[in-house]
Parts: sequence; structure tokens; C-alpha cells
Amino acid sequence: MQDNFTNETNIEQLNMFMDGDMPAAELTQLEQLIAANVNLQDRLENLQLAKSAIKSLGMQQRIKALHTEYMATTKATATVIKPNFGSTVSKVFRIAAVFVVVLLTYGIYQFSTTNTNNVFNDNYMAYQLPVNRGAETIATIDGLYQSNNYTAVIANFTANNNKQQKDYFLAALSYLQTDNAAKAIENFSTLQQLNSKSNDKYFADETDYYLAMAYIKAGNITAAKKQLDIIKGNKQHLFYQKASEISPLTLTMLTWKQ
Amino acid sequence: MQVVRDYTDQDLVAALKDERKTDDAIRFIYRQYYGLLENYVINNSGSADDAADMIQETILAFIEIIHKDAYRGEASVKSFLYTITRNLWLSELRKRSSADTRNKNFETAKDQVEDGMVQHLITREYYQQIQDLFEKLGDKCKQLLMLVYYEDLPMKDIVAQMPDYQNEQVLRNKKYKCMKQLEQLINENKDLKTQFKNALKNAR
Repeated sequence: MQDNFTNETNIEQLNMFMDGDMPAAELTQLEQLIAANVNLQDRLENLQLAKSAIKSLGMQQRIKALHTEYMATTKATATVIKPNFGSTVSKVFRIAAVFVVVLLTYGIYQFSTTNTNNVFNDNYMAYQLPVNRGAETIATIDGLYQSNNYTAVIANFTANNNKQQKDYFLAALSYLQTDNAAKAIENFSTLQQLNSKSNDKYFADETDYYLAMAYIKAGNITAAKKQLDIIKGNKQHLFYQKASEISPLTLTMLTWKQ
Repeated sequence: MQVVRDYTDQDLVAALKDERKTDDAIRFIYRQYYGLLENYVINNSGSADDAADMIQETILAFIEIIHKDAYRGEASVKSFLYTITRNLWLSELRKRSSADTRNKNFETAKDQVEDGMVQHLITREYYQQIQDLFEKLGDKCKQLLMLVYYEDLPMKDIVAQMPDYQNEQVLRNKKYKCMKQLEQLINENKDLKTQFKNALKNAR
């Protein structure tokens, strides 16, 4: 039997021996032969190495499959992140778009509702003459103005042949109160000229502001803007705050509408 | 839905010894240590592809060391995997820098490798050469031998998977023939085996 085992055909028996398929009757004899034969030991070792290498190959393939799975999962995660990034961006764009639409809607609304009348009404405040508590009598035109009798103020002013700066101022305010913007502008302008020639500036800051309001009322936005810019150029101006509250955008919209 | 679980080192080793739990344990190694091991290779002149190859080799080596009860738990799994990757990668770099790769096949440097790992790495290299020979077998032989020796399936189950073979005895005979063929190829490449044996001897 020993000689037979050197034949390659009997490698099969060594394989049976390795796999535990050898019939019990032949097992002992084969074990003795292997123990006594270096060549058989070498061939059996070849089979055992082959078996181990196959097992190792199987595990290698299994790891490779799990490696592929891991890489696919990692890529999938990256892919999931990508649309998320995209959706975040598109969400931002959507919010921005909504914001733009809201802004546009607001702009359109503002544009359609803004007119000289409401800008005037929003910013005009009837001028209150300071009360001179020490005076026993109130000058006629002052009294008429304080009693809101603007028509009488105008009549008094028209009849007056010796008009003073104060008369022009109260008359201009009264014209403004009675919706005669042109006459208000005319009288405020005259007062400005008088003030410019006089050392005694009468209601200069008030005139600046109410002249601007008169221009708005008259629809002369360019002149109004110029007047307001003069006021806004001087932080010490009495009407600096009031003039600053009239938005340049509002004035621009009024200009577009002209 | 796949359950994701964490393992202590002890649990991980136990899972890698249990056929049914091995896949989840390997997945855990990927999740937990892939980045670390990949960084090592990439930071040492390797590419992402090199790292992918090295990490697969590392896990294989780790599992085989565990199956041989050669992992004693003196180092943590993390350190152990890192050491395996380092040794495999250094060995690979040495091979690449050598003009004569064939003579460097078993040159895994003893001083660079932890105790107990040298023999394993040398054996791995010889296994790879046997696997190259295995690839020369026919598809049926390869399938059958994988089912028998890796899947460890009983013959009756293999018959169901390979209906070309009528019964278990026919299949068993086929297995013997396939193994004989492979053994002959190994025997014809005695030089490789001699190199392997010498490398093992020198490593001791």
C-alpha cells in the first residue's frame, strides 16, 4: 500500500483522510504509512495548505463583499447629504424668493397707495403759534390764526398794506390749511427772501419745513426734496427729525408718479 | 432593517469566531476603524485604493489570527488592527520599492512585526500563491471546493446547489479529483513551498 500512496491517484485517499471520510478499517494503516513516509507527509501538507488557502479565499471574498457594501453605504450617505445640501440651498432660494415676492408686493402696494395727499397728511402738523402769556392783547392776525380762522387770516393778510414777515408766515400757513398750496409757496418764498435780507430771521426753520410741505401738497416733489435736503443737511435744524422721517423712497415714488 | 450594534473587544472577538455573527462584526470593524486605518495608509504614501486593499487584508489577517486563537487580547483590537495594517503596508512598500519582487515575497521584516504575526503574514503570502493556482481550476471545481471547505456545507446541501452531480458520491469523487488537481499544481511549484518554509524558519 505504501508504494501505491506515492502514486498521484492515491492523493484522493490522503484527501479522504484529511476530510475524515476514510473508512475506519483503513485509517490506522494509513496513519502508519503517513508517519513513515516523508513524501506522504509533504503531499498531505499540500492538501492541508490548499484547504486553508481555499478557506482564506472564501473569507477574503466575504470581506470584499462587505467592503463593497460599506463603500456603497458611505457613498449613499454622501449622496443623501448632497440633495440635502441642494435642498438647503433651494430652501434658502425659496425663502429669498418669497422674501422678494413679499418685498415686491409691498413695493407695489406702497407705490399704488403713495400720493402727495397721504404723504402730506402723514407729515403735516398744523403749526401752533407760541402763546405769549405776558401779552394782554393778542395781535389780530395771531388771534385769527390761533382760533383756526384761516380764511380770516388770509383776508386780514390781503387787506394789510404793511405786511411783516410774521404776516407772510401766518398767511402762508393759512393758505396751506385751506389747500392753496401755490399761494402758500408764494408767501413762504417771499418770507425766505425777506429773511435773507434781514438780520431778524423770522420763523426761518419753520418756513423751510412748511415750504417743503407746501411743495409736496402742490406735487412739486423735486422742489420738496431739495428743501428737505437743506433741512437734513443741518442737524441743528428744528425740523431735522421731521424731515428725516420722510423717506427718500417715498419721494422717489412720488417723482415716478409725476 | 439592519441592526447596528457596538461591541466590546471581547464581544467582537467572540462574534468573529461565530459564523452567524461574523458579518455584523466585520461591519462594526468597518464603521469603527476604517477611517483610522485608511488615514494611516494615506498618510504614508498610499492612495485610497491602497488603503481599501490593506484594510481588507488587515481584517482577513485579524480573523485568521483569532481563528487560530493567536490573539491574546494584550493589545486592544484597535491597536492590533492598526499594527496589522502598518505591517502589511510597510511590507507592501518594501515590495514595491524592490526591483525583484519575487525574491521579496517573504521579506516581511521581523523587526517591524509584532510577535506571532510574522508567521501569519508569511503564511498569508503563501496562501495567495496557492489561491492563484486555485484560480486555474475549472469553475465547477472552484465552486465545489468553496462550498466544501469554506461554506462547510454537507454533501446533501451541495448536491442541491450543483444539480449537475446526481448524488453525494459523485460529488465526493469530483471533490477528490479537484483537490488532486490542485495538490498537483502545488507540488509542481515546489520552489514556492521551499521559500515559504525557509521564511517561516527564519522568522522563528
